Amino acid sequence: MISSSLRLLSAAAIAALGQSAMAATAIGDHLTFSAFGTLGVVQTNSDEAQYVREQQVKGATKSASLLTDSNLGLQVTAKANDWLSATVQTLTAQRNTDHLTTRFDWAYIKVTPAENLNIRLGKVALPNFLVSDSRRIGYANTALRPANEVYGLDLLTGGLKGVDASYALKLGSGTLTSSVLYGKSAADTPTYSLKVNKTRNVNLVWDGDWYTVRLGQSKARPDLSSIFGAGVSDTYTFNGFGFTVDRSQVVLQGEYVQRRSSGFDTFIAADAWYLQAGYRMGKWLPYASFAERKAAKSSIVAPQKTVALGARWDALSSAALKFQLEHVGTTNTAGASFASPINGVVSKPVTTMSVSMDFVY
Amino acid sequence: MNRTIYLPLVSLLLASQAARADIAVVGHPSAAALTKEQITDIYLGKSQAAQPLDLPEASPLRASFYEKATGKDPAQVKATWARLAFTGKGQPPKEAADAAAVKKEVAANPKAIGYIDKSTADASVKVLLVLP
Repeated sequence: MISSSLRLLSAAAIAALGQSAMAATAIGDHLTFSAFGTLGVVQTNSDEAQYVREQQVKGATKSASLLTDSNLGLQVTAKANDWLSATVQTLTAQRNTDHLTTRFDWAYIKVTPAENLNIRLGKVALPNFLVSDSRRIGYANTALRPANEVYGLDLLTGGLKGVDASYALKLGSGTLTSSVLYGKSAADTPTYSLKVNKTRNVNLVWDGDWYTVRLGQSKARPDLSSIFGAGVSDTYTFNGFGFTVDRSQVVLQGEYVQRRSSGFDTFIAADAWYLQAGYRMGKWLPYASFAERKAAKSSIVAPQKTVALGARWDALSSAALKFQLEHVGTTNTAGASFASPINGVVSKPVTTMSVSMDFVY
Repeated sequence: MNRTIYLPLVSLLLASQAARADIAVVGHPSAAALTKEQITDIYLGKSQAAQPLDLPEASPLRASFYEKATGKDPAQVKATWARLAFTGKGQPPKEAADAAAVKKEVAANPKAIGYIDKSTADASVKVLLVLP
């Protein structure tokens, strides 16, 4: 199963490399097929724990792993007319189990009742971060993988079934995009899966000529009856602030997020942030970043810090090669990026080395 | 001059001409003129005010247009559209085979805009902006 999925990924990667021109094949007048993917390998200098992303179970040790970063996304959009379209997207990746799984991450109908107003109905990603809905699209991002201190913090990993609406308002030289969303979500971790009700989110994005600022908040009511029985309720809150700067050769990106719970802050409350800086030199974009997660309100959330150095190389017209070195410290806890530590903790800082190829078609 | 030397020279010359040529952003004869900022927004997916057309990736005019209109190189533009397309925020510009195809599409569709070498613009389309 794993090897056949990886073979599929490799085949897709090679097909994309052979593709000199861009993206998106029109199938007749109304259908468009497009795809993205990553073939990535990561290795660490420690056998103490497996280095993973978000809720993954299996990752890298002194033995390299292809399962951490590799993925494949396939998308078909059907456009009926100027104001009505439907999109489905599958993503094959390791999520909260030890192997690659394929799921419909997106399946929605999009209506544009007026210019710059979009309403989507169906399954969409929950925009809890600056690049939350595109973090698996390596080609769209500078770094090889997003800071796990921040991107691994949100527990609402199951996407959103519901409705979202966004309106883009042109103000001077910038655009203010406001969006709201409501629906059901899910918290899928290696040990439990919870249904989450009444998930609502507000996002404000200001897009200037050369910078973007984002402010967002999600609130949700996880259904805890499977753990505590009926009668125990909680409100989960996730706040985020982020920005990007892309001016002449300089590329900056940073985010600060907060996770809170009305009833279980002891286990949930945490803050995290990262700052990433890069410098564009033709087809090369070297970058460095620092990320930190720490407990808030005297919770027991494990801390972690990562220093990363890397480079993106736009080697081909539809593919980028990336290299990244990281130094990950957990101050003798389980940290944020490690699964199954042998003694429950990662006792020494871990160095990771990663290479990946991101492509779009 | 030997033909094997001559051909690359000609293509070099043509490519450098394309980079220097004035680029005309064209629309339907009934369309209103656009500012450079509006064109930047349309071609980077920030505005749905018009339906943009692209020339093929191999066309030197395409890279030159994006450099002049947005200040971004082809890889940056592609990364921008990858983010928008795979998160349901927009579809990248439709590709037209050449300047003649751009003019034909633009003449037929009041919402379409495209870019061509200014010297190939004719009465079937309206020049909305010239990028020197």
